[in-house]
Amino acid sequence: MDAIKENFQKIVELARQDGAKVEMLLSGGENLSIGYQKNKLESFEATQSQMAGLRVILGANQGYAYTENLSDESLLRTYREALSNAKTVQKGESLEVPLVKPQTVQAMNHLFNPENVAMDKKMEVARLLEEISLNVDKRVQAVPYSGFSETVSFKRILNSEGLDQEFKQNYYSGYAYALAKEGESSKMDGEGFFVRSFQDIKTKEVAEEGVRKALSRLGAQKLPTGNYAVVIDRSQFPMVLQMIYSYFSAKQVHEGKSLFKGKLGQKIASEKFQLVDDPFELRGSAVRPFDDEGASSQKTVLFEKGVLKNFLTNLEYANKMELPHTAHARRSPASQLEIAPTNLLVAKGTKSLQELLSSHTKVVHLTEFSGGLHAGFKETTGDFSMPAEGFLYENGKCIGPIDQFVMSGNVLDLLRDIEDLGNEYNKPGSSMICPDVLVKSLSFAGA
Amino acid sequence: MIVQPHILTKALDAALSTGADFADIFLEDTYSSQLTVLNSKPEQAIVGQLYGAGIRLFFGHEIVYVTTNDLSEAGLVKAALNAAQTRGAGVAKKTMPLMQVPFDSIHTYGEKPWEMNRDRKFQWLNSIDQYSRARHAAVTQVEAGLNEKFQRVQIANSRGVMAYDERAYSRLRMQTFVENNGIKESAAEDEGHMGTSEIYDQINLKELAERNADCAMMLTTAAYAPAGEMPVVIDNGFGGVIFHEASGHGLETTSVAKDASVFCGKLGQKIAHESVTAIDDGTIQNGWGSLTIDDEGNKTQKTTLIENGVLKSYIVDEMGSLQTGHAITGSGRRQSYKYAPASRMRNTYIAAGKDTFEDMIRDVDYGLYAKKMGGGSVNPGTGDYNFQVSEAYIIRNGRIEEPVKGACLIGRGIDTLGKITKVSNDLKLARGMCGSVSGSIPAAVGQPQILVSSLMVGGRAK
Repeated sequence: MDAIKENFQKIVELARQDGAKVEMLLSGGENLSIGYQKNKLESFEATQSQMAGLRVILGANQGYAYTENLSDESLLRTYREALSNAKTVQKGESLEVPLVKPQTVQAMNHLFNPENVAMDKKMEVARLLEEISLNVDKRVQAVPYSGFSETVSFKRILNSEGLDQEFKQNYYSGYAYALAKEGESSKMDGEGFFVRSFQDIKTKEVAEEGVRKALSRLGAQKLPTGNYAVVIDRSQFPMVLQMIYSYFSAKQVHEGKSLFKGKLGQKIASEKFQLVDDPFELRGSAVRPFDDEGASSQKTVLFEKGVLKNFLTNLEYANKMELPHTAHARRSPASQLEIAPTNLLVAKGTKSLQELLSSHTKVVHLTEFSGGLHAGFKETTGDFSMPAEGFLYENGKCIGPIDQFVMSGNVLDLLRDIEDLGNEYNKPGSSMICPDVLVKSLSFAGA
Repeated sequence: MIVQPHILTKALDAALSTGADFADIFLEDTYSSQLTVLNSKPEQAIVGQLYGAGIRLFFGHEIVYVTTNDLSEAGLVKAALNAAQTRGAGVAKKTMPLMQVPFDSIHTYGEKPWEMNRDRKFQWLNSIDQYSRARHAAVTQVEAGLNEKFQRVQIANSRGVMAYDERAYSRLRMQTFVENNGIKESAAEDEGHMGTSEIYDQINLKELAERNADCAMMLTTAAYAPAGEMPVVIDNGFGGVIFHEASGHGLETTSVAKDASVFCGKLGQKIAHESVTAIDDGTIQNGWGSLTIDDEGNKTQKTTLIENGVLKSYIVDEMGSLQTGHAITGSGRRQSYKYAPASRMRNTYIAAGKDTFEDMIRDVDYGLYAKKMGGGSVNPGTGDYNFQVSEAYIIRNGRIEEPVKGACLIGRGIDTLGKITKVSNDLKLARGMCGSVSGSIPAAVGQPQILVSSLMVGGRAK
């Protein structure tokens, strides 16, 4: 038995005496990041992390505590704190919170495949990301953000029902953002990569694509305020999925916060909109064999021909709301158990991007949301006014780049007004896998 | 003290063993607590501990940074050697004898978060629910939470500096949901400071909860904001987030040294309307973004960034100083030991001017009064920024009239600075969390009311 398991057994014994159930979530890993600036190595970071989070259940109540100090003494103290928190959180409910029983999960061992890559080669990738971006075009003034990362992460869950699951993975990622300038116009854009094998890194393509994107935006004009048809680029549609991300959670539905409450089985989106949650989809970054309470992962249909098919649950809310258990528990050692999607996959359509851009007399091709969700989305109402940039098309021809504008509407209307979808997916690296999406009409404020 | 000086000396020597020019160690032991109440019932109680060290080496302008959770002598020396061996092959140097900087905090703290009785904390949180529901029958849900943090840090560097500091933070937040004539809305508010939680006995939580419930109700009847360029009066307090995002980030040497700021090479030049003076102050007693020493062990300062429209200083950390030649301003900050420090803002505000708010409004024929700002972001390379306005009113013929929702302000920092034509005499500061290269840190923003003569308001097109 390893030291972690031995320590956990001591905690389980204590919990038994206290009449409690207990779960320990351990996560952490190693990360190497290398960045160059003006052709010189700027930063070289090698970080390690580990954290243990304890969840203690006393009947219908749960308490949490976490620590980065994994000594025996510290873990026992953390258990006592979590127990005390469970005694504090008296919600007055009667349904006992269950723990997941030991179960078989789909093996995903192939995602942990550490390669013996020489340090020089990793540094070369970081160096070239900046160097190539700087030298592609003289209008590139600087490459303020670029870097290469190698990540190894692990997650292990043990509980007092005897469950002990572990998942490890490793991957490489990198990015380069170029700042381009011409006359009074300056624009920054970039590109990134996410691969599981070092040989799949295409440094030159990534750097050149980032610069191409920045240059294409120079000389942007203001967009006349009005209503336009819009193609939300496949790289940006994940922002729309983020807006509805929490609405699928049965917990949010139970608390009355989800706009999908009461709409199960109803057609609330365009017939062309189909969405599944797929924890096994390797293009996505949220791959996992089991959820954050140890339950075996499964694929879940969310939208089929515009009809809302399922809410996502963990064990507690599947019981509480008498819904199917979809194994979507989500937490970090330092947070309480929530429910969240894994990889979200939007079904592709049949049209090319050019066909979508030619579908109306005037079409805005939205290529960047300039702020995060916090910059203009209200979860309570679904209303958004999101700053963005892109290109204006007339009769299928690109008129030119357009400066920062605000696109407004309501996300439920947007889902309903989807006219068509493209036939290609965005690049791997996001947990949201999307094609280009054409929306009938939205309000744009530009000038 | 988290680790004994003789151990830190050994670790620093290990860090210098391959020729690094400088090394420092940042040790942290942080207690955090989050309590949440939903509809007057305890919803969540989480406590936890961060415990680790970050070791940083400079080889010229190169930074090597490693972290470890093993704070034993063996653990720290091993991490330092790993860091040294990744880059250097030079001649070993020795660290200077460590001299303790006196722990001389300007901030005062009461009972530590783990000492204070939890019932008292729950009473504050429950009272928010009661005040909100008593105010409007349309209130359907109230979520209130108390986040507390007590960070103990110890910093030592190869120049012989050893410093210790304690930073307490407390923030009480609320979100109120209403349903009025079938329309659902919500509004959020918060209070807090750098310090411990006893302040909520002095703060008028009733007024805060009522104002928040009123705001949510107001949104249920508000129309969507118009779209287009117009004069905008931005309220004091959190309105300062625009300066923070649109100008502050571009003044950090983290951007300046990379030529990724519109303010590069503009020291001594007029970059704003002459009514604008802006300050970044780490020395405000118990101020949300204050420090005693920064995360590099340097005493924090009050820095005048812009004086009467002229750029006076950047925000400078150790590496920024090395790269740009400007003196450090005590602004090296990080979320935790997991991040290498970077030059970051503290309490950043536009200083009070001479105009009055009433005159400002009276001058506008048609425009927007942005009373409460929401989230936003900026591209420091181009200065393009965007902000949500969570509470806004139309100004018509010099009077504040109907409320509007869904407004968003967009612009370019340097253009907006030139269009601030009036600055009121009523300065206020407000709390925010600022995210950047070295993580998410408490930073205060602030300003008096300002009039921007023309700004793009993103609302709904007619």
